[in-house]
Amino acid sequence: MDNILKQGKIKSKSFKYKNEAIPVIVQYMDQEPSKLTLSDESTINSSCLNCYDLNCLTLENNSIVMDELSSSQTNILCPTEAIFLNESGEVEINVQDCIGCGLCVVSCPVGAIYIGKEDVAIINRKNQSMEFSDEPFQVKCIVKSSPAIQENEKKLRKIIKLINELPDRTSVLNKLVCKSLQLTGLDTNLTRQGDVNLRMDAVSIDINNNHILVEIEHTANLDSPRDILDDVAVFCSRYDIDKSKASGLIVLTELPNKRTEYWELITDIEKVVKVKIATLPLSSLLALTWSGSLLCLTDFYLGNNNTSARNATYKLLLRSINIPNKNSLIEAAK
Amino acid sequence: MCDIPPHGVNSRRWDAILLSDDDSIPIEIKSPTEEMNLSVKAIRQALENKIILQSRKSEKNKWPTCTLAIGFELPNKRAEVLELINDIKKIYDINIAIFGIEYLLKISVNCISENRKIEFSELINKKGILNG
Repeated sequence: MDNILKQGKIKSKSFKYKNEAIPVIVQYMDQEPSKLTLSDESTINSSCLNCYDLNCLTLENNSIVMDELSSSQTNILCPTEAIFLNESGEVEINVQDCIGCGLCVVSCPVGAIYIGKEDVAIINRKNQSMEFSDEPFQVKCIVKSSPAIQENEKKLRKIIKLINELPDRTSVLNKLVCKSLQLTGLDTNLTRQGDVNLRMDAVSIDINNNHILVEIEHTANLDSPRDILDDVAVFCSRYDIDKSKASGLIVLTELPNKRTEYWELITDIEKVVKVKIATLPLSSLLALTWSGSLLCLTDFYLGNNNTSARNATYKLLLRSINIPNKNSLIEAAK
Repeated sequence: MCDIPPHGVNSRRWDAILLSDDDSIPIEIKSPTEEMNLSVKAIRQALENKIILQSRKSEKNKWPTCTLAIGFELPNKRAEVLELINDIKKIYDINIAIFGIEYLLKISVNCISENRKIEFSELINKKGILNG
């Protein structure tokens, strides 16, 4: 709560680039500050501008998927609220709370935040070619020439481990998934706890106005497809929505083994009651978020004939995901 | 005829199944150690039993025939069980019927005292909470 209160304070100082230069290209570096190319063709290490938009703190949730959910939405970007405005009006990160998910890294318009050697987010404040400004700087258009964070198995597993160790792990995972879905272009709202009419963890809506009922799980078991069946029945019945305009999405930190019944069951469900269920690994979602790619669920309708999200992720990233073969972060193991 | 499937056969996950020549009724059974009152969990599993039966066709099964869940006690009024059964009927057109052990004992005693059997056809159209 303290963090939230601090976020309301007015900032005292902002920066702009010398000689009225504007940032043109940001190139993210591994465990180092990003390189920023300015309009005067100089290249500097990107550092925090104390900019006007505060995209690293909040992600506006203007698209309310359902009116019923409007009061339960938060604009706070960080799933652990590790990033906040301190009493000096500067953005600061509490490294004890940071899980290294990179949402703030992706959201900083000039790449002034990066994931450091300790796998936590760092704000670069070593200002180069910058001067004080009376007006907060607004970044209008900038090219991002590389993924904000390069995914790998170690990094992804560490994020999952840190989440699992938290007392409020379910809430943190739900917030991370919700904001990541928003960043990848899918309007998503978390549902209210205890609302019997909206039992799913989140609801998304796609460009064709189809409702996607989202279940977010630490480990996959048969309860996830059962939850989706339940969600679709209750949601479509009580909100008078055509079943053909609703589908399910299960976001998992790890995919279940090939021999588990999960894959057979989601295949059975589609075959018998025509409810499509997409299976999205958290790793794919984070890789897409970090790369600034848009999510399309078309190829994530996995089942007993296809238990890997690798190809679906490849199609959206336009490159291979950097996770070794036969890894449960991206595909079902034996 | 009532059959109990062997353990570990994934395509026959129901706890018991009533069989006729051309149809079947899967049964989900909840023991009091698992839950005293039938809950939405039993309803979800009854629904799943029907879907698996329809998909994998391990037994003959007609679409309109109900799927059963039997528990120790009927659900609490606030458990939303009947609402869920109605939602499932409306959206998936699948009939789910539930009853507690008291009802089962009552019909068993009636059958013995009246020297009759319950016909398979008496059960196929059941829906909702059976306690009459």
